[in-house]
Parts: sequence; C-alpha cells; structure tokens
Amino acid sequence: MEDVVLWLRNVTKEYGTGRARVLAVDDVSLEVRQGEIVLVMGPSGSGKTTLLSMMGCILRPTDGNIWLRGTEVSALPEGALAHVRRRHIGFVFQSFNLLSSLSVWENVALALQIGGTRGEAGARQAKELLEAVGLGDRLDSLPADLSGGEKQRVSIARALANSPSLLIGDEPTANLDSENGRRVADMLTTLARDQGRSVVIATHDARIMDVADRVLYLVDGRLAKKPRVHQG
Amino acid sequence: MVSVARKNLFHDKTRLAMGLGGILFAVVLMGFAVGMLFGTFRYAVELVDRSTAQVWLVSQKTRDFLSPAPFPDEVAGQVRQVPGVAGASKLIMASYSANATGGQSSPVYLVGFDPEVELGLPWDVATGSAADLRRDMTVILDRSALREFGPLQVGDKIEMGDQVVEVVGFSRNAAWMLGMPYAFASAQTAQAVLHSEGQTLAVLVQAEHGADVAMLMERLSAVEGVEVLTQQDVHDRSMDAWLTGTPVGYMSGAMVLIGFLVGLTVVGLTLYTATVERTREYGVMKAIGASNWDVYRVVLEQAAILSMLGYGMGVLGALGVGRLYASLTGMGFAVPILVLAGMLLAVLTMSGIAALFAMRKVATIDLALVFKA
Repeated sequence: MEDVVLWLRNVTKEYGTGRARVLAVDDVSLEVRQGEIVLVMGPSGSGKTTLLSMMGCILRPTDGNIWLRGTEVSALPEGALAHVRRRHIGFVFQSFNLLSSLSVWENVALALQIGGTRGEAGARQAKELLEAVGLGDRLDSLPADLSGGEKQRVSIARALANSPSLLIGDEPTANLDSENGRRVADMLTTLARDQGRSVVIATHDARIMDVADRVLYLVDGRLAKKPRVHQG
Repeated sequence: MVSVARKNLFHDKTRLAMGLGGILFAVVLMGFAVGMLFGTFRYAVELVDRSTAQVWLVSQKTRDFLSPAPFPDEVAGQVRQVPGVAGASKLIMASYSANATGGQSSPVYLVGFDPEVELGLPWDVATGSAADLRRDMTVILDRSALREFGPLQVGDKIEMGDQVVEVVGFSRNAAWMLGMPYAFASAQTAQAVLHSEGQTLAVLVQAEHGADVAMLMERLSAVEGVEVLTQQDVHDRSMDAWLTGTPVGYMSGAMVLIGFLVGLTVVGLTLYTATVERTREYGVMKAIGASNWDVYRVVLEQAAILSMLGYGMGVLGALGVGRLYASLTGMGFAVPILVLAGMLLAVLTMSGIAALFAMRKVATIDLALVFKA
C-alpha cells in the first residue's frame, strides 16, 4: 500500500434531491499507484468527469472516502482542497484552458506563482518546463497563436509546474490530430515511467489505450473493471 | 510576477476604454462640481479673508450671512472708545447695478468702508490707492468690470442708481460671487449710493498692536445689540450660509452624487462583465490551486488600475474644464489638495464597491466547468 497515491473507497456522488436526484457516481472503489497510468473510459454521461473531479479534489463525494498520498481529502474544506490541488495535482484539460491574455511562459509561471514560486525563479522554471515539452521557441506567443498540439503541451508544462504526484487528464487528446495525440500520450507515458507520477486519464480515444497500465470502464456511474497489462 | 489583472485589462482595450471612460466622466463631473463650489465659496468669503480686521461686530438680528441685518452706524463711534481698539470701520455691502456713461449696464458688488482704517481693502490694486477713496463719490473698480463697461480710465464717471461716482483706481481679480466685480468706496459714498445713511451691516475692528484680542472681544461684548465675532467665525458662518442656505451646495452635491453613481455603475458593469467573460479562466486558476483571495486580488487589482488611471485622467480633465469655465464666465473655480485626496478616496471606494459584485461572482464559480469542452 505504500506506493498507493490515490485511494477511493465506496465513493458516491449525487446531484439534486427528490425526483431530481441524479446518481452520477455510484459506490466506486479504486487505487492508483505511483507511476501508474489509468484510463477511465465509458460513454457520455457515465460519470467520468464527475469521478475525475473528485479524484482532482474539485468536487467532494456525497458519500465514501478519498485518500491522496495517505491524507483523507474527501471532507476537507475548500481552502484546504485548493492547497492540495496546488501541491499534489496537475490538470490537463480537453480544451487546454490556457489564460488567453497571458503568453505561453506566463501561463506556466502563473501556476508556479500560485504554488509559491515567484519572480525570476518562477520565470526560469517556466521556461525550463516549456523547453522540456519542445516549446522553447514559443515562449512569448499568446495561446491564440498556437496549434492545438502546442496548446496541449503548454497545458502539460503548466500541470507539471508544482511537481505534482498525480496528473489528471480529461480527454487530453480529443482535440488533437493523430500525430499530436500520439505525442501527448508519449509525454504522459514518460512522466509516469521516468518521473514516477501517477496519471489518470478520462478518454474516449482508443488510440491511447496502449499507454495504459489499467483501463477502467464506467457505466451509469458504476465501475466495470477490466484489468489490462502494460506491454512495455 | 505575472499580473493577470494587468494582462486581462490591457488585453481587452474596448473594455479598458469603457471602464476608464466611466471613471473619467465621474471624476470630471465630481471635480467640476466641487471645484465650482469651492471657487464660488472662495469668492464669497474672499472679502472676509482679505480683511485684516481681527474682530467683526454684526447685528444680533443677523440670522445668516447671506442677508446680514443692518444696525445703527453710530456703533462704530462707540467701538472706537473701547480701550485696545486701534480703529473701527463701518462695512456696507450690496450688489448694485452700475452704468458706464453711454455704455452698458452691469451689476457690481459695492463695498463701503472707512479708508482711514487699515483693513487690507481693497486688495491687488493696480492703479490708485485706498487713500483716493477719502474723496466723496469715488470708487476703485475691479478691472473685470471693463468687460461690460468698455474701456474706462481713471477719472471717468459711472452711474450707480441716481448717483454719479468717479473711478479713481482699478483692482485686479477682485470679484464677488458669480464673477460680479467689486467696486470699493468709502462708507459715506456707499451709504449715499444705497440710500442707507445711518446704517451699517458690520463694524470691523483693528486691535491695537499687542492687544489681547480675546479680552478686547470681551470688552466689545458690552456694546448693545451686536454680536462680537472673530474673522474665522465670520468666515465659517459665511461658508455655512452659502452651503446650506443656497442651492449651490445642493446642486454641487447632486452633481457629485450623479458622478459617483455613474462611475460606480460603469466600473461595476465593466468589472462584472470582464469577470463573467473570464469565468472559465478564473475557474481554471482556482482548479490549479488559487484560493478565492488570489482571484479576488485579480479583480481588486483591476479595479485599482482602472481607478488610478481614470482618476489621473479625470483630474486633468476636471482642471481643464474648470479653467475653461472660469475663463469663459469669470466665475471662481478651485480644487484644494484635500478635495483631490477626497476624490481619490471616492474613486477608490467606488471601484471597491464595484469590485464586490465581480468578487461575488468569482466566489460562486463552479469549478467543474473546467472539464467542460
């Protein structure tokens, strides 16, 4: 259990009450180990995003418990959850979610700034992270001037800003062509294999199934586990 | 340090221009209203402030300083007998219509006093002196009157009611309220013009050198039917009378309020729409670990930048409009430093209140929206 980064036990999430009650995630239990890549797949409306939101400490479960690096986070107040997200979790979104008025390096530096690294140190680290994802020559560009693949690489650099142990990816390849999708998938694989970060990805994209250690299927909020052995 | 506030604000130039326009309008309106008010008041009390008399005697029947009650001018004679009094002068004041011979008619503010007593009147004399007023039926006229009267010279005559007076000198920048030029005369001349012989509106007292003014005032309080005041008392009561007894104060107050409300509305809308449009980005900031306060700071910093830029431009605008107004109308316009500081405080308050709506929006952002495509 020592290498378990994320642990969900009997997690349930309901929205609304009475007749309007919707059970988005129903009694899900799972573990994510250090350096592991877990894909969460399932049809639209199956609860993937809600499950991802709870794993990313953005939503609290209605019932059940979530531990992140040994600390129970499911009942923490919003202020403490913000601290957990800042320190331990990186996000890669389907629509990139870069701040449109900030340049590429400023988007990454902002995440560092939120994590407490400011000024010259923040600027230097941001540039190093961007160079690592192959964007050293686009530092001063605005997001609007980048291709989808480049935006997603900025998003990955930002997700890594505070050296998180858990990366949450929501359809990170959905808006990319095959080549860029492959490149992003390879980057996430490297982060897990070489840097020991745990990666959870919600996706419909069968092209990236081969990078996963495990694929979880979610149907109507319930987990249908189909273990899959990583080939290499 | 990455300033999201600055970047967002300057990224959207239309919204920046809208926000700045709102504050600019508010500051110009507030500054102009307050400047007009203070300019008018400065003119209203300039005679009091310029006078070097330490003690003023007014009728006990004087309710306010807009229309002081007359009392017998023999009081001036009684006052001169009081120990510690170096000189005492009657003071007669009234706005009155004057005619340059063959020229235009224009109102002047006639001030009659005793030229034998050193009172600091008239001030800023360009031609002639107070001593010239010892001759009956003479006046020192402010040059601003020449705009209406045409080119007058020393020795020319003007008609005041049924009297004719000779101009023996000119002053500069001596205008009463509404830009009305002063005409300084001896008390006897003023009484003759106004047909108010035997009456005065005040007695101005010059204390002997080194005399204890407080003790002198106590001695003067024995004079029947008058109230004994310091120069500061007269200044304060005059200001108070103009502020509360005329529409000037209320009109200026209304303009300031309108300016404040317009500014508040425009800045509020600017900040709120800017926040709504960037709800997702603020949600992303919170999702990656920013606290509510981190995002509030962005909104507040935007408000502060808008305020300071708008205030700076607005003050310049208000001073420009005020100067134009003063030169076109001849009326007073003055913006004291304290008023500038007050306006800055008002603008910051305005922006602070406006930011509250945007901050409320930030506080209620549903973070799950960051996962929406």
